[in-house]
Amino acid sequence: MDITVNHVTHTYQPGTPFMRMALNDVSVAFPSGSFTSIIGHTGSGKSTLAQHLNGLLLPSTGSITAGDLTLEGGSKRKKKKINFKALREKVGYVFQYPEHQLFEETLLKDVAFGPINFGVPQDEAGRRAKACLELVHIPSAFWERSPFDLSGGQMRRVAIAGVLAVQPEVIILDEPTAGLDPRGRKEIMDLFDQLHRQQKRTIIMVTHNMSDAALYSDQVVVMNHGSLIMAGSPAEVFSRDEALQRIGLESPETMQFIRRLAEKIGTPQPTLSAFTMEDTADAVLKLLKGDAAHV
Amino acid sequence: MPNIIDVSDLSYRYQEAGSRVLDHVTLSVKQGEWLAIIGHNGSGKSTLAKCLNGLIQPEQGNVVVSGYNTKDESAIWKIRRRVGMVFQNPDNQFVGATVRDDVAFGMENHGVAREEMLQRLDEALKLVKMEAYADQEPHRLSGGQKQRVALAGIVALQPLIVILDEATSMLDPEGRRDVLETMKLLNKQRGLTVLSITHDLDEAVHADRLIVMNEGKVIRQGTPAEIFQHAELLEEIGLDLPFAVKMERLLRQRGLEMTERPLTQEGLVNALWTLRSTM
Amino acid sequence: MFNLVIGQYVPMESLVHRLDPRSKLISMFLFVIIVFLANNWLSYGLLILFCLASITASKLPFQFIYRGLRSVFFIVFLTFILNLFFTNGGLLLFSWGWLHIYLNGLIQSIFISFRILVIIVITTLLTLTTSPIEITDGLESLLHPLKRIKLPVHEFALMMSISLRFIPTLLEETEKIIKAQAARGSDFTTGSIKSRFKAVVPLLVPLFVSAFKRAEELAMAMEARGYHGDEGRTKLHRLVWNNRDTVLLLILAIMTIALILFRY
Repeated sequence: MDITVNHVTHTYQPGTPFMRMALNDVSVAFPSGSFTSIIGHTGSGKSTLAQHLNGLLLPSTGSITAGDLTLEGGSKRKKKKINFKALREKVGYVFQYPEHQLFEETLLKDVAFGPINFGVPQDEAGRRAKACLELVHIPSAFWERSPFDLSGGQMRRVAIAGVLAVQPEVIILDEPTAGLDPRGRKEIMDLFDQLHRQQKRTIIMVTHNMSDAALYSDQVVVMNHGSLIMAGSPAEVFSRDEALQRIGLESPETMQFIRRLAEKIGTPQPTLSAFTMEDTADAVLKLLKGDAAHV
Repeated sequence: MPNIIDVSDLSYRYQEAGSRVLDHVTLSVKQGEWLAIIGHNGSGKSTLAKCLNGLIQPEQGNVVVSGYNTKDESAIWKIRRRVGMVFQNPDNQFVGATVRDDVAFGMENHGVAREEMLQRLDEALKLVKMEAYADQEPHRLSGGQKQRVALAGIVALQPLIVILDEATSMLDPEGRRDVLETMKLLNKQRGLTVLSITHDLDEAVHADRLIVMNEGKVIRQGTPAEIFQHAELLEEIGLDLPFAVKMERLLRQRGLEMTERPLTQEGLVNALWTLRSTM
Repeated sequence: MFNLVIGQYVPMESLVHRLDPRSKLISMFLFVIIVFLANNWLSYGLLILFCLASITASKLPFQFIYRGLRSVFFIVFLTFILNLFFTNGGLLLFSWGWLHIYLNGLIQSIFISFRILVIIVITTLLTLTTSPIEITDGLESLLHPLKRIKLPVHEFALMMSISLRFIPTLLEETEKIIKAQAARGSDFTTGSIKSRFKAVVPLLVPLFVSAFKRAEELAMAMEARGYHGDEGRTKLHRLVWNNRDTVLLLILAIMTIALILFRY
């Protein structure tokens, strides 16, 4: 399912002293099957943008098209009733620290909560819950236990399973690895990478982690003070180091390293990008051999 | 340098039937050093931290802070005044209604006289660069700012040591950077001893000394250079490696032999530059 | 979703803002009591004059006061109507079917409406000009003598200030959980009462779990920061009783006497 954002502006608490423009004329497309990372500072409007994509927030002006559904901003909206449920069934949302949303008596019941809300029959919801818990590597011995007996990392995976069980075409992730240790972070990122590659799910991830943004995405969207500054492939976005630095963002470590080395050696800045450790090591070899032009 | 904390043969478990979260841990903290404890979640490092200021009493063994045993109930408030602690969640340790009130909270508890309190309050807020926010309410602050307020509250008590219990893990990169810079300043300029419990290996490489914990045991102690020599061991227990260490290993696999094993990007760039001039 | 302005305190520089919270609290309580002494135009005039003078001295725009009053207009109106129709005596002004309005009823209704209004103006003024922490400090200090009879005055004050501090945090959290469950298809806004009630469970359980976790962590952090009750505790906030506070109490005392005299 394609999602298109057309000139969306969002104003918080309009008409009060606390009024704040959180999004300012943002236009961007998330093509079906793509993996997009939205990067930017805290308060740059990343999460506000993401919450528009499944109708948790509605545009003040502009519109959002998701599949055959359109969310209009402003006065046009009141005329028709929006079918939020149909939208949210197709666009799943994993919140930051999603483990805070667990509430059921058992893992299975919690994971089945979403599908049942969207009208999936009990037994089918149960089957999906089991499949999703397996997918996130929660051993079946835990399935009938309370989610509150699990470790933080396990709770996070159960919460994610709860979103996946709805079988959304598009999955929005808000800082999915925040607060996890390196092992937990890798498990989560591998899971979504797999969902993207094998099942062609569209993934939209809000993140502070530039390395993840570079490694996993087809498209990187950069936000600053509510405006979209740039959008493009990781290679395009992270080659504009100066523009990123101006708004206080850094390139992934791999790129920083290549640039530092090139600078030290005194060769011109390499134009191509490397985001995996292996590619970076190869690039370093070429740089050292004075082969800079082909890096 | 004298030891300010001595932990000897410390064991602890949360439930009597459960397994040991801390298993015969022995270590010491020297005055003025920056000590980092690394290990994955559940390795016992946070439990260890809570033993160091008597929030948890050892089941076995002793914890001695500048001469006071944490088992000695009459000394517990003296110990807590000397051992400051910043926790993981910035929200759940902010007690005051405003920044000033929060920084004062610790001093009020320890009975610091009001005149003295006002002076230390200003000083502490300046040190963490939060003086412009003195009258702000906590929900108007970022996570990084809240953690710096927590640090000011500790500094104002003039402690011997600050323990950071994953204090940067819930922060964004900017907040993390600000908190670490403040800590470095306190360590280098004020000679404050720092014990940092962390997953952030790029932070750990800057420590004077590292302790690696796994399943409640101290499995390695040493300088960062010594610890990261054994990359395989760290990966085995589920820890990541600093970027420079991983990169050095990949380059070695590709036939580049450097004489040293740098821990930072900068070190690696310099090592490669040296290598290139001999190529 | 939560456009509420939490804590109505408006930080400003004014005579009323500078008053000691204790004198403000005492005056407010006293005022609320003496309002019931008023029974004629003269005494109500005096009370209204006091309100207007206080608002002027606080330098707050009247619209702030009005905003506080707006929410209670309905109650005032209802009391007015009830008194208007159910108080007998005096001149019959109006009669329609079984509805009768007497002069006494009209006067009574106006008096009672004014009574409610002045009480609300004065309490609103207190919260608009005194920060929650000042109110807490003031209460703790005023209730201090009750400690002799083993009432946990300090703990009560601390509890109050921590609750106030956590209100915005918990509201933010509530909003986040509502959104997270809405994204999972939960619906709080439509359906039968029963289904709406059921939809509250996925909201309440996470909120309670998180509140307990917060409480646990906060307790640990407080202990680590040396909190052990108010024994040997010093205070950052010092309440200073100035001449203006004494003057305020004197004004209240004079008003009390005047109201008693006006009564007869």
